[in-house]
Amino acid sequence: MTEKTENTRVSVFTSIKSRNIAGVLMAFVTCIMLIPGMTTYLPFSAADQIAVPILLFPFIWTALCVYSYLAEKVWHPWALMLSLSLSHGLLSYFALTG
Amino acid sequence: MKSKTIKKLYTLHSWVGIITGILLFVIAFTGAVSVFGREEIKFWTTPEIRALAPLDTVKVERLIEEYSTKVPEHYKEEVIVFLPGVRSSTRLFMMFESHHGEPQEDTELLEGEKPKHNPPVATIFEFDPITYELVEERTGLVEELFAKSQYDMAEFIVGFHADLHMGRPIGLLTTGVLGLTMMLSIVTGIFIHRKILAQLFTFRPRKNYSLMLNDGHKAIGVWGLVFNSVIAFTGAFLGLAIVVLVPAAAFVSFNGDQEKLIETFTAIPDPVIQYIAQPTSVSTALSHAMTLDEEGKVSSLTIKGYGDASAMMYLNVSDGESVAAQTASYNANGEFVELYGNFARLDGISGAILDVMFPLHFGNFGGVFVKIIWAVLGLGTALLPLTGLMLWMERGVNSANPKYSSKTYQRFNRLIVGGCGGIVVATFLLFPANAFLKYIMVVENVGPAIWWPFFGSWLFITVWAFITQCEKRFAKQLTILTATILMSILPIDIIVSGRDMMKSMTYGHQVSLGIDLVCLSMGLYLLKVLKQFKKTQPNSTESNEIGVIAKESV
Repeated sequence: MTEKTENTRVSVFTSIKSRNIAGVLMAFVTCIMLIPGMTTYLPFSAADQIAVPILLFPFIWTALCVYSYLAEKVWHPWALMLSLSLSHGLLSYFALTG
Repeated sequence: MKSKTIKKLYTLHSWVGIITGILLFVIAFTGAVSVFGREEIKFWTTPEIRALAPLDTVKVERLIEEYSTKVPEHYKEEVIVFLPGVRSSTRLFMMFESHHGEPQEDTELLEGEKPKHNPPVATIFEFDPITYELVEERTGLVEELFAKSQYDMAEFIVGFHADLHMGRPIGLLTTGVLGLTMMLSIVTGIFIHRKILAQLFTFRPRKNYSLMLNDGHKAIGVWGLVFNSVIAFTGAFLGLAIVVLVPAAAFVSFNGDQEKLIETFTAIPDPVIQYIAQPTSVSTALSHAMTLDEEGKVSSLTIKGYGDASAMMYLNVSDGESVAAQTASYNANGEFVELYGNFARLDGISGAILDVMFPLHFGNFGGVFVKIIWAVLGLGTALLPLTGLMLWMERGVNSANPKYSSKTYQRFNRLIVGGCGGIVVATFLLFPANAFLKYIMVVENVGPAIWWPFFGSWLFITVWAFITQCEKRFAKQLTILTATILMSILPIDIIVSGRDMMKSMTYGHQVSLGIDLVCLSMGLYLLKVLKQFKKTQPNSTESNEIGVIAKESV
């Protein structure tokens, strides 16, 4: 019968749980926050202002996800995504209330 | 690039593949088949529409005129006609729709209260595509009318590919996220397999099993790089657009009103009604639209302001020279006004990109030849996660220090055999199942009934893969079963439509016969591969194959 071998491998990633959450979930949330935020400042026609952020969504998510895993320090992607989310959230808020 | 970074990307590439690989195979394989969903498979399932006479445009105009008198005046707000034998339409379909529903009694609105809109209502008339006799008439809410629409395996497989028949938002979200993870796999794959040129021409299937998987995975990945990237991007977009992207975009620009956003970008403008009665020259417009693009097909007609001098007609022309579907507009006299892409009429560059998203994903432009290329490349997309998963297991099992126990690898292998083999059998089983339900059981609406053989066989095979003693033998049995089903498609078609096929070899019959012959060839090829595999078996390195684990554990 087969035996379970002891796993002595060392993961190439540090703080893997945090990176997983950042790379999958936070990257997705950030992209969603970016879409309405970007419509407030993109210097395009009305149609492009809405369509360009939508079309960029898959590329931005992929870039943020890869960065979440490649960054040396785990707080770097978190800081980037939180600041992007916050700034674009505020832009949306000001556009709605202003 | 630093070796540590490459190692990280490799690990990420492996993880994404392991987590999403089976589902990606399922979506990609059914995607390769659903390329032919509209209208090639529709021809196969519906022999009645294979040899239709050219559309009688005068008859269509007369029918619209006649049946417009049978519906309330407000139902003539919009008239939609789907032509028979084009895309998934089997009958001449005519819908008189009131977007604003039934008129409501005047009620005083409170201050700040918005007037309520009733849900859209319509009357649908369906006519026989040959005799133009009325076959079916139904009236009600538009949403309910479409929910009760008849469908068969052609729409079933396209729907399964789009949202796994889980609907909105879960199904679309799943396929959309899968598109995203496919993009992630492609990006990480490009960095870890950098010697692209060398891998283009390296394939050593006879060396050993491991090398065959390794070379195959890289070669398919490199040759299909552009196609896979397009499919991943358009798939992510099409999956997420309605459930995530449009609501997010509407949040600021339209104060969260998604319907208003969609209407602004897609709706056909309503004409200003002049209240001057004038017949709408449907026949002239239809006849002209059919000459606009030699390869193109007119699939639908929308009339706004029917019977008024201000009426406008919009005809959808697709599958032609232009990648994007085109709309041809005509005035009430049937005079051609303009031809444009649905989004391209908007300002900016994004309209043209949005217009090609759907055709690029399904390959429905440039005729059946493009579809064949799309299907072949789509099968490559399906093989990519499969070879990746097998490679990961192969390396894991043969590693000096395996990450998981051999039992775990074996269970995973069984899941791959059952899940992936099951979907292949279930998909091809749709052909005989559709014919059985339609002609033997005489089921009126085949679509809902076809769920049982499809999901039943897939589930049964997946479960059986875990129960069976040797999954390797089971994989061979599945191959024989798939080949048998594939080879049964031609005789079934001959039984169902043989006489008609002999009488006239119309385009519909040619397409149908093409499907039969391709399936027969694939079935024979599968048997040949299996025979060759058996022959080479004693010489192959047994220890390299996952199947050995099964023998160990029994």
